[in-house]
Amino acid sequence: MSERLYDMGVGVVDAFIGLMMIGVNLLPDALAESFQYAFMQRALLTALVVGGMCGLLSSYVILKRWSLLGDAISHAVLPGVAIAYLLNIPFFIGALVTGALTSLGIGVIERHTRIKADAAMGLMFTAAFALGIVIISQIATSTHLMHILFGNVLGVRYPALMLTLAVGLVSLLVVILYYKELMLYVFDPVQARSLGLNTSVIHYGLILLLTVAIVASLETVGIILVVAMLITPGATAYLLVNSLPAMMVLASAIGMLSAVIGLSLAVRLDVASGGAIVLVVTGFFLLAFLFAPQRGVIGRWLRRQRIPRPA
Amino acid sequence: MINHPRIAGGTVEAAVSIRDLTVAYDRDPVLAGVDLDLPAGRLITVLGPNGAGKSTLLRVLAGTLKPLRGEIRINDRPIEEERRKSRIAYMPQQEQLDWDFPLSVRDVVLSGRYGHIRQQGGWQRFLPPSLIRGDHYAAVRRALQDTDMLDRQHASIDSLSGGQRKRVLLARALVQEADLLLLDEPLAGVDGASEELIMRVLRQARDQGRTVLMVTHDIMGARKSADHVVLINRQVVGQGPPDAMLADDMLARVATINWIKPMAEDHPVSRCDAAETTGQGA
Repeated sequence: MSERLYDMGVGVVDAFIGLMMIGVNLLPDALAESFQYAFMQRALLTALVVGGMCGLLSSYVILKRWSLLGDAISHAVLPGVAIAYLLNIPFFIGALVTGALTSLGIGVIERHTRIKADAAMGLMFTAAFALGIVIISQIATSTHLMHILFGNVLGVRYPALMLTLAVGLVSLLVVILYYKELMLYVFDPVQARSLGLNTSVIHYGLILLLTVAIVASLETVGIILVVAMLITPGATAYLLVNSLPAMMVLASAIGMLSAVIGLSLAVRLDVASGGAIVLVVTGFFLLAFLFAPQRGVIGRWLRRQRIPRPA
Repeated sequence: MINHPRIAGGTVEAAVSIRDLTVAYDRDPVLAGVDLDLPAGRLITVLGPNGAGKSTLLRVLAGTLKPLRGEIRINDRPIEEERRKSRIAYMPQQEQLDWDFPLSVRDVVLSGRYGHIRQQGGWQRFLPPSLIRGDHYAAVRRALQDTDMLDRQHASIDSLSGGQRKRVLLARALVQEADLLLLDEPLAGVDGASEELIMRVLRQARDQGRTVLMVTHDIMGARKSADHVVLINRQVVGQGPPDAMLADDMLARVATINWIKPMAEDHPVSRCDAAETTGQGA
C-alpha cells in the first residue's frame, strides 16, 4: 500500500471515529469514560462495523439456511491465515483464497457424489481447519493462534480497521443496490433463473460476501465465534418482525448494540471481548425467544389461553 | 376452436420448439431425444405418469435444469434471450418455497416485475422495491385483482392457506405479462372454488394470446379444460386435441411405452440441484 493511500485511509478511519465519538459522548458518563483511549475507540469502531455488517448478512444466512456454510467458511479461513503468515503476505488474501476454495470444494463434492450438503461441509471445513492447526503449530507462538481463534479487538491497528471499514461499506452498498436480486435468489432461485438472472453469480457473490465479512471479523470475535454474529442477530430479528428490510435493519442494529455492550463489559470485567459480544447477542435472542409479541413463547402461551373453550 | 390472431391460414406458429432434448440426472435419461412443437395461444396440458419427465421438461424450460443436449426456441428466438426479457413466467409447486419467509403477498407478486425493472436499465434498477415508480405497482394490483388476493395484499405469506398460496404464485406469474406461462401442477391440492378461479384466470390469459403450458397428472381436469394435450413418457407419445389424446388406447400407451423401469421419484429435486450450473446446495 502506498503511503499516500495509507494516510488517506487513516484520515477516513479517524473521521469515522470522530463521528462515532459524537454518539459516544451522548452516552452516560459511566459508559462513555472507558472509550477515552485511542485503542478503545479503534476497538469500538471495529466492533460496531463487524456487528452491523455480520448482522446485515445474518438475515440471508438464516433465510437461506446457510448457518453451517458460515461455520464452514469461518473455519476454512484458518489455513489461509497461517499460509499468509508463512509467505509474509497480507493475511486477508490467504484467508480469502482458502475460504473460497473450501466453498468451491463443498460444491464439487455435492455435485459429483451422492454425499449431501451438510456432510460435504463438515468434511471440508474440518479438513481445512486441521491443515491450519498443523501449519500454525509449526510456525507461530500460541498467542498468535489464540488471536486468530478468539479475536483480539483491543489490539486492532489502523490497517485492519481500514480493511474492516471498507468491507463493511462494500457489503452495505451491495445489499442495498442488489436487494431485489438477492431477495429473489434467496426466496426462490428457480424464479430468479426463469427471469434470466445469473444465479451462479449471485450464489458465489453471496458466498464471497460472507467470506469477506468473516475475514474482516477475525480480529474482533475470532474464527470460532464469528459464526454466532452471522446467525444470532438474524435469528433474533426473524422472531420479531415480518418484513425482510425490517429484519435486515433490526439484525444489523442488534449486531451493533451487542458489539458495544459486549465490548464495554469485556473491558470492565476483564474478560475476552469476542466471548462477551457473543454472550450479549445470545442474551438478545433469549429475550426475543421469550417475549417476542407474536412468535415469543410467552406471547403464544397467553394467546392460547384466550381461546375460549367450547361450552 | 379458439380464434386467435397468431393462427393464420390454418398454420399455427410454434410457441415452443424443442429439438432433440435429452435430460439425464444420473444414468437413465428422463427425457430422451424429445422433439416437440407446441402451438401458440393455447391452453396446453402435459400429461404423463409419475417419472415421465413432466416436471423435468418444465424445469428445463424455466432454466433451472441444464439439458444434456438439445435446442429450445421460444417464439422462434433462443430461450435464454426470452428469459432475460421476462417473456417466460414460471409457477412452481408451492412445496418448493419457504412460506415462513418474511415477505408480504404484494412483495412476492412484485418480484415478478424484477425482470422488467432490470431491463429499464439506468440507476433505477438499483432502487429498493419501496421506491420503484412506473406502472409496476399497477400491474401488481391487476394481478392481485384477477386472482382475488387484493384484500390480502399486505398479509404476510406465512398466514395464507394452500389455495391462497397457489393464487399468489399465479399472480406472480401473471404480473410478468409473459408470452409463455409455465405452471407446475397448478391445481394440485386446491379446493373447488380456487380451482375454478385459477382455470378462469388461465383461460383469460390464453384469450389474451398467451401460451399456457401446464403439467399435471389430472386426466379429468385436462379433459375438461385443455385445448391441446401432450402425452409424454420420456418421449412424446402423442399430441393433439383432448378427445383424441385422452382416449383409453392413448392413455394405455403413455402408461406402458418406453417403460424400461419405473423411476424412483417424479420430482428429483436434490438431483436437479446437483445437475444445475449454480451449485445451489453448497
